[in-house]
Amino acid sequence: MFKINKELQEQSIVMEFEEISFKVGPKKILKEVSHNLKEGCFYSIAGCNGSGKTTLLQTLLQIKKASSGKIYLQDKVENNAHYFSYVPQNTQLEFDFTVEEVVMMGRYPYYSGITGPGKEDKEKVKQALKLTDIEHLSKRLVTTLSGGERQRAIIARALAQDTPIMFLDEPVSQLDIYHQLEVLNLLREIVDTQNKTIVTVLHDLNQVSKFTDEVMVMDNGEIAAYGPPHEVLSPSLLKEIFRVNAEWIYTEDHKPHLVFHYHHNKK
Amino acid sequence: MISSANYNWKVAISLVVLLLLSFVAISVGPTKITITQIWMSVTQSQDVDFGITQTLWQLRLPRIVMALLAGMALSASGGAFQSVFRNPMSDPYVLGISSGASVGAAIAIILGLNSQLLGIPFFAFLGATSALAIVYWLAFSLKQSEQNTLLLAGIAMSLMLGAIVSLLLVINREQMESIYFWILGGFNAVGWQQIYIVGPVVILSILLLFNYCKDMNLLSMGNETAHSLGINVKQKVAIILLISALSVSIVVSYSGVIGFVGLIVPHMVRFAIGADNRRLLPLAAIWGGIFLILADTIARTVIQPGELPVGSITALFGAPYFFFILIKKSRRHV
Ligand SMILES: Nc1ncnc2c1ncn2[C@@H]1O[C@H](COP(=O)(O)OP(=O)(O)O)[C@@H](O)[C@H]1O
Ligand SMILES: [Mg+2]
Repeated sequence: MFKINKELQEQSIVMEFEEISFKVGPKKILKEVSHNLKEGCFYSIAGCNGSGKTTLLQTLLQIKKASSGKIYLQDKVENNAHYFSYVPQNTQLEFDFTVEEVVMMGRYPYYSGITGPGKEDKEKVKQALKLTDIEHLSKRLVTTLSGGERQRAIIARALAQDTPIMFLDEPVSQLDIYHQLEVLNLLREIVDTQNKTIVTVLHDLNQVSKFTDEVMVMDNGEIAAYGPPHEVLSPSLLKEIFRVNAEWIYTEDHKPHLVFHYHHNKK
Repeated sequence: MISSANYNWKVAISLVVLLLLSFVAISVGPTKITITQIWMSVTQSQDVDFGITQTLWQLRLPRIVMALLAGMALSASGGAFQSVFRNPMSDPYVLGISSGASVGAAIAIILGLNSQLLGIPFFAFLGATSALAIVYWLAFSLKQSEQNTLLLAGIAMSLMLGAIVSLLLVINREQMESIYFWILGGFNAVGWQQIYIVGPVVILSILLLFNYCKDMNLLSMGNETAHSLGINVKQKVAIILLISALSVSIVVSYSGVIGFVGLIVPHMVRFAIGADNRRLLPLAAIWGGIFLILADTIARTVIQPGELPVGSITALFGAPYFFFILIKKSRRHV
C-alpha cells in the first residue's frame, strides 16, 4: 500500500518512490528505482524495449506489487482511481461499447450505480471527447475504429477521470503525426493550466525534449539518468544506452533538435 | 444512459414475447389446452376437466417456469463470464463449469444422496467451484492476450469431466438412467418442489450479478484498466464467478447440462442493444428464458409422444453459432 508523508506537500511532490524493486523469480526487472514526481511537471520515460518502463508504471500504480521499496503520497487517498489514471500500452476492446460509453468509464469511480452519471460527469466526458478530437466518433463502436482512433478514445477516458496524476504508456505510438502532436500538446496544456502531473513513456526523443520537463532514461531496470531532456540526452548517453549516433543541432529558431546518423552502430 | 426510453421499450416487448410464448408452450403437447381452458382453470377451476387442470398446473407450468429460470441463470452468467474473461466465446458451459456441476451431481447420486433434498445441489456446487478454481487460476496465470488458450483449456476440461460422468455411468449401471439425465439435460422430471429450491437461488444470484454490471464493464477492458479505475480485480472476478457458479450449479442439479444458452443469448442481445452490462444482463436473462422455453417446447413436441433432450436442441442451434462467432472474431483480428 501507499505510505503517507505529509512533508511532501511543502515540496510540491505528489509522489515519491524509494528503492522500488520488482522481481520475477530470481530475475530483477526493476532494481531499486527511486525518484519523485512534482506537481505541475511533465515527465517522460525513455529507454529501450524491455528496459522496464511499463513495469515501473505498473508498480507505481500498484497493478504489480513491488517486491520491495516504498511509495509515498502526500495524503491518504480514499479511492486510488480519484488520484491516478492510466493509459495502458495496449487496451483490449473486445466488446461493442460506443466511444462515449468507453470515455464514460473514466467517470465510474465518481458515481454510484443507482444514481447514474450526473451533470458534471457528462460534462467531463463531453470535454474529453472534444479535447481528443473524437466528438464525431462518439456514437461509433470502439471495435470498428482504427488503432489511432481507439487510442484517442482510451486517452479521453483517462482525461475524463480527471486525476491529479496521469500515467500514459506509449500513448502516441499508434497515432499519425498530426494526432501525436495534438495529444502531446494537449498533455502539455493540461500540465500547464491545471497543474497536474503527467508521466508518459515516449520513444521519440525529440518529442521528449520538446514537450516534457524532465526525462527518466531507463536502462536494464534502472533509471540511468534523469533531468531536463536537452541536458540528459547527450550524444554519449545516446550512444551508450540507445546504441545510436546522434547530435544536437539548432534549427533557425534556435531550438535544439536531435538528429540521428543512419548507419549501423555495431556493438 | 443506462435505461433510455428505447431500452425500456425493448424490455417491454421482450416481456410480451415471453408471455405469449409461455401461453403457446402451455397449450401445445399431447393434450391440447386452449386459451379458454387456461383462463377457466385460473378463474373457475371446478368447471374444468380434472385431467386438463392437472396437465396444466402439475406438468406444463412447472416445466415452463424451470425453463425460464434455467435460461435466466445460464444467460446472465454467460454474459458475466464473457466480460470477466474478455471473450465473447466463453460461458459456464464452454469453460467446463456445468460439467463440473454434473460430475458433482453424479457423485451425489452414487453416494445415494438423491433422496436428500439438497444433496445433489450441494455436490453440484462443489463440482462447479472445483472446475471454477482451475479456470480462475489459469485466467490469472496466462497472459491477458491469451484468452483463447483459456477457452481451449476450458473445453479440454469440459471433455474430461464429461468422460468422468460417462465413466461413473458405466460403473454404476443401476443408476444409469438418472446419471444419463445430466449428460443430456432436460426439464421432464420437473415439479413445483424443485422450483421452490431453484427459483429463490436463481433470482437471488441474478439480482446479485446485476449489482456487479459496472465492474464487469471495466473488467472487460482488461485487468490493468479495471485496476486503474478502482477495481480490486481478483476479488471482483472471484465474486462474480462464484455467484454465476451458484446459479449454474443449482440449474444443473435439476435440469442437467444444457449447453450454448449462455453463449448465444448474451451475444445476440449484445448485438441488439450494445455491450453495457447494465442493459445487457437483464435483457439477456429474459431472452435466455425465452430461448429455453422455446427449445423445450420444440423438444417435447416434434416427435410426439416421445421427447428429445433439450440439451440436444440447444446444441443443434448453438454449435453452429459458436462456429459463426469464431469465424467472425478471427476475421476482425486480421
Ligand atoms: N511477468 C513477467 N514475467 C517475466 N518477465 C517479465 C514479466 N513482466 C515483464 N517482464 C520482463 O521485464 C522486462 C521489462 O518489461 P517492460 O517493463 O514491459 O519493458 P518496456 O515497457 O520498457 O518495454 C522485459 O524483459 C520483460 O520481458
Ligand atoms: Mg512497455
